[in-house]
Amino acid sequence: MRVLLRTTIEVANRGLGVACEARDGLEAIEVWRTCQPDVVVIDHRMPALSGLEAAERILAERPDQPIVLFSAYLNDQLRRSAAALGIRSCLSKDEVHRLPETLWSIAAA
Amino acid sequence: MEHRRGLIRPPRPAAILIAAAVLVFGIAGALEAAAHGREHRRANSTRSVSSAQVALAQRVESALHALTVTNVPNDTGEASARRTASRGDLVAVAITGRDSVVQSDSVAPLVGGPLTAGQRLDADLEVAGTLALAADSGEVRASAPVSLGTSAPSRSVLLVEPRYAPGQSLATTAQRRAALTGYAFGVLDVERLAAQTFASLPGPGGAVEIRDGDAVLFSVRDDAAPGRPSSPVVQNLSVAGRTWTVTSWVAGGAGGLPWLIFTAAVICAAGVIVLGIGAATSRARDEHEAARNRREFALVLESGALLQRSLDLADVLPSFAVTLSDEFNLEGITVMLAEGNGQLVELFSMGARPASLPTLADALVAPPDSVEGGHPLFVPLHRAGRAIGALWLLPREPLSPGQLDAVRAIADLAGSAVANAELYRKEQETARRLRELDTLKNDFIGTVSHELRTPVTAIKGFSAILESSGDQLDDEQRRDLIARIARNSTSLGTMLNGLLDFARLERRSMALEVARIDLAAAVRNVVDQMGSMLDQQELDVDAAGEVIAYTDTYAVERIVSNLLSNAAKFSPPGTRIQVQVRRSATDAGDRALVAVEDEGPGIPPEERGRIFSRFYRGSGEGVMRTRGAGIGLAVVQEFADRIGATVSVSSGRSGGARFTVSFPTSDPTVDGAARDEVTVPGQTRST
Repeated sequence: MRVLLRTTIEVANRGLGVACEARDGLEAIEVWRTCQPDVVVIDHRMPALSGLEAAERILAERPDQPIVLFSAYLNDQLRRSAAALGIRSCLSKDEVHRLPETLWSIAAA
Repeated sequence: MEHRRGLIRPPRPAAILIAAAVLVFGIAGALEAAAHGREHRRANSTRSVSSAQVALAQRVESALHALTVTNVPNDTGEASARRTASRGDLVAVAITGRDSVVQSDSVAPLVGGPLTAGQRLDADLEVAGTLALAADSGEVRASAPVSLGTSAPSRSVLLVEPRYAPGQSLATTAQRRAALTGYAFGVLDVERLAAQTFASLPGPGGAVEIRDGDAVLFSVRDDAAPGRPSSPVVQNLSVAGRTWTVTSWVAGGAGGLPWLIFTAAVICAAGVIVLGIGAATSRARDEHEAARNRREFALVLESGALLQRSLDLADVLPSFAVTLSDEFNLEGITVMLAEGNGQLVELFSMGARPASLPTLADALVAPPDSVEGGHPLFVPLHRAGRAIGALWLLPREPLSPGQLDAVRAIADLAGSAVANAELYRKEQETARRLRELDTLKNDFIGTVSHELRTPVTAIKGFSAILESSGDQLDDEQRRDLIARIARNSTSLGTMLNGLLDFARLERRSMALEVARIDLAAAVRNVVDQMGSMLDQQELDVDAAGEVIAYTDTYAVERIVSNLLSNAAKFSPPGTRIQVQVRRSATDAGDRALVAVEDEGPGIPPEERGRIFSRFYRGSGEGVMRTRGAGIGLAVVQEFADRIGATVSVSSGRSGGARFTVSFPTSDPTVDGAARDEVTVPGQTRST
């Protein structure tokens, strides 16, 4: 799944690039601290720590960090929880082709 | 005549004194005998009423259960009411909304009463009060006796269970009131019920009456003997929030027998001083016996109340054992229930216990008439006339026949209580297991749908990139994307195969055929097919030559591919996965073995007994970082069971997991071939 995201982003090009990758929620927090990306794209359903939990910890350290929640199971409840935490955008896995434009709109904001 | 006159001359003062003394003894003996007889009858009556009360409580409990079965949320009133109208002792049932009856059904039509369809529920004050109590408490409530229209039994009680909207919280009274959607009603014909359980009980000249407060639910009196009933024994029965009082009387007054004794005493008074002495001795003995009888029926009462206190045996059995032990001076007491095969199993024990537990039939083979001190005895626990277990008692002192009768009466009460509690425990256990399975299945469905969507998303995503931006990529990038699409397709196929296997094995709809095959060749074939999925690890296959086994080729393929997928999933990239096929001679005979060993983190010994369970996923960090539905190893186990193979897990040389599958090497359908013991960690079963 990470390869798909990376390829999608790299093919879209236009200045977008993948700064770093992590295998699960715990690793994501460690990698994020050293890498300091412009935007975090995070899956919700992950081993060890869910995407929402990882996002909550990241936002606790840096409240203005733009985060996109990328999940196969986007329902209203998940969207509301994400918005309440301060996650900027949610994207369904069926809409992976919309990822570059989502990243651009967040960067432009 | 002179001679006759001489005979009837006035007696001398000494003789008058003796006669008067004997007469007084005679009267005292007669009165004591009457009292003694009453005590006996009272003890018997109490035991019988206690047993009948237990039977009545059970039938009321069945009626409550029938009502609860009727009260299915979302079920239509009609379907629900009809399903249960003839069940148990309920003569009518009805489903209502909040305000009026929606549907009712009964053995006979109910005209004009509160259960008539369309009838408002607040029309009868007693009914309305019972409804409010049920709705607020969230429990079944019984009403006082009510009038239910022209065709209903005259002494009926309504049982009311509230119905709430599903999914609502019902923690507080306010929440229960808000969520209320209606009620389920059941009509209990108390008069008939009580008549069936109590009618034959009062004994000569006695009476039994059941009251709910001032209202008489049932009354029976035996008029065979003269005299007014006396010495009431009162017991309470709790019925869905109400208390029914059961009162029994034994015949009172002096019967014919004591007066015969009195007359005999008068006749004998003329010269039999010895009779007076004998009467005095008998009186002392009778006093002792009467006191003991009083204690025994008090004990029966006490035990009955104690055993009805709770459905949890852990609450009641200790107090019950202490009570019995004190009364009968016991050195030990054990309560046992019979299993399906008749073997007794211990439920509770205090003090000395039996050296071994016999079968129920052996325990009850010769019921004793009396018991010596220091000699154990078994007393049957009955339920509905059938022995379901036994009490084992070791008394320090001899038990009289009367004491044995008391023990048996108590055992009858205990039998029903123990059986009910055991049923309750089993129901609780079943409910707990179903809840667990439900949670596992829900997790499983969530995991499986995620596992299926991931490769589908990848295939769709990579295809979309190739379609829209293929011309921007160089050849190597394009080949890489195509290879990824192929790998995800294979992974999806493997996953679907696993799910189909699982479903077919669950339904027992998969036909497997055991035949003589070359196991080594079958394993080599699986490894070749799976090669592309195992590109992260180094595969080391030792399956040269021919190793014959009697098994099913498809089962071998599914077992080995699941074990290889499992090894690949949990092993770091660059490590080695070893596959070995060889023949092995053991004490149990020749076997053909397939071993799959990885260099991953291994499986902790405490988890080895559970990894073959359906939906089970380990708890280690390695497991947390990987995905899966928890069915791969369960499928391996199911296949192995079906073809007479065994699976075991151990530690590999590097500390990784080593799975070994052992296949039969002789035809299991031929006479004399061993019936294999299939052994997996934590369980053994015959194939």
